[in-house]
Amino acid sequence: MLVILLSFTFLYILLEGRDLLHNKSWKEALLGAFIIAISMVYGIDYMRDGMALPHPGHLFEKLMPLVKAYDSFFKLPT
Amino acid sequence: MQNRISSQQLAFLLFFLLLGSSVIYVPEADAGRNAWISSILAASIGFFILAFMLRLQLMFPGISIFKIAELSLGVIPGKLLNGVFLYVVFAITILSLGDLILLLRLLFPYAPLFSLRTIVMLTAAYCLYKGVTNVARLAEVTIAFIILLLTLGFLVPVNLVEFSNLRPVFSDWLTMVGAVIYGANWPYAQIAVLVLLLPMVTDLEKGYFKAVTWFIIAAGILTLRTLLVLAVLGPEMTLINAFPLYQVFRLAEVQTFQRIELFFFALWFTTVYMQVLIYYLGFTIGLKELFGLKNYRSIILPAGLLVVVMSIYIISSDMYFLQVLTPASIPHDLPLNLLYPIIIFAAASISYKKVKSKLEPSPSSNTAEQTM
Repeated sequence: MLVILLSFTFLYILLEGRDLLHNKSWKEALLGAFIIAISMVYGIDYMRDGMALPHPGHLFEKLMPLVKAYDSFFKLPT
Repeated sequence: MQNRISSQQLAFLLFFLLLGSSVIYVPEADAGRNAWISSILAASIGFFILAFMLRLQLMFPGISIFKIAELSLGVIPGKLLNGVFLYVVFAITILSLGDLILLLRLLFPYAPLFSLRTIVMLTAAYCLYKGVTNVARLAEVTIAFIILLLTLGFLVPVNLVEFSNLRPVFSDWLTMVGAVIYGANWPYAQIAVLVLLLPMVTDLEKGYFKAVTWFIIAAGILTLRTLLVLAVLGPEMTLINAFPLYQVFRLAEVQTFQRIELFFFALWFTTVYMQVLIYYLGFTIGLKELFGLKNYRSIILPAGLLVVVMSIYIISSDMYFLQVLTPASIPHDLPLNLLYPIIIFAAASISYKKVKSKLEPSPSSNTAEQTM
């Protein structure tokens, strides 16, 4: 995971850093940095086996009773 | 970076998106013998979505749906709705990547998941760096190869077909109707992402029927796939197999050739990869439109990194992916994919004149001087 985070970040700085600074595209740079920061936070949480962050999969889990009710109503095999 | 595509290229992208990862599965398998009827009914829902998307874009040629949403609903409600739609696009990108990795694990069972995901997303990022036009050209270049493989694919297992597996027809209409939602969600409703590419189509007014034609062709192919799988495997085996079409090819025999299914792996890999690519492209274009950036190039890699990291974080195992994420994606994705184009279309139709006046350039202040 660390390799993924570092390689993507390094590639981003290599390919886009110069153009962003030269063109003073601060909005693009800020958004890119923000997205990378979120990825870093989730990546580090994954590496530490932590579950401190909101897990998007939990939303899917909360929707499973609806799926089961639908399958039950239409007699679909679960 | 080129960002213009023709209506024919859009039609090919739509074709790849429909075939995508669903060609190797049978999403409507729960309907049993009548899954092919569920497939046809699901296609009609997808056609409905396509019609709204095209009609909306024809009303406002070249204008992004995100902008239309903000002008017709108001800036804040429009941005909120756009943000939620973009979140669904992001979620489907992760699920599509999960589908591709699941498929690749058939060939590379011991390959680290981290490596596979990174390789796929980096190559997709490279394609995106080349521009939307080149992504569309990639679809044009590979379409003939895919059609050839599909034709061969339907002919090879013909001797294994048993039509008795399809009878009786309309035996269980309740499960048939219930399974329509599975097919409608995947793949038909997932075409909603193409609404982000429609402003780039140069000749949509004259060529929109090409998208309709290729939609019908893709729907026909998917229905034929369902019929073939049911006729060869039967309804019970179709349901329990993770990759029913793959299983059909494993059973097929052609002379002394072995492992024919690997020959068709190129077909599945290409269609699933194109689906991942189109969704990745849609996600980056959506980010660009939502935040008002000049172009999406600078956020290709950050978006790719986010997709890779979140797919590793969310998809903890194949079982979790197949048993939780895939079925729960129906209530998660289908409502918004279905309703987003409809809501924007309705709002834009009601406030058509207001939106049109805001989009038209203001008259020049020098006209009085020019007439003198």
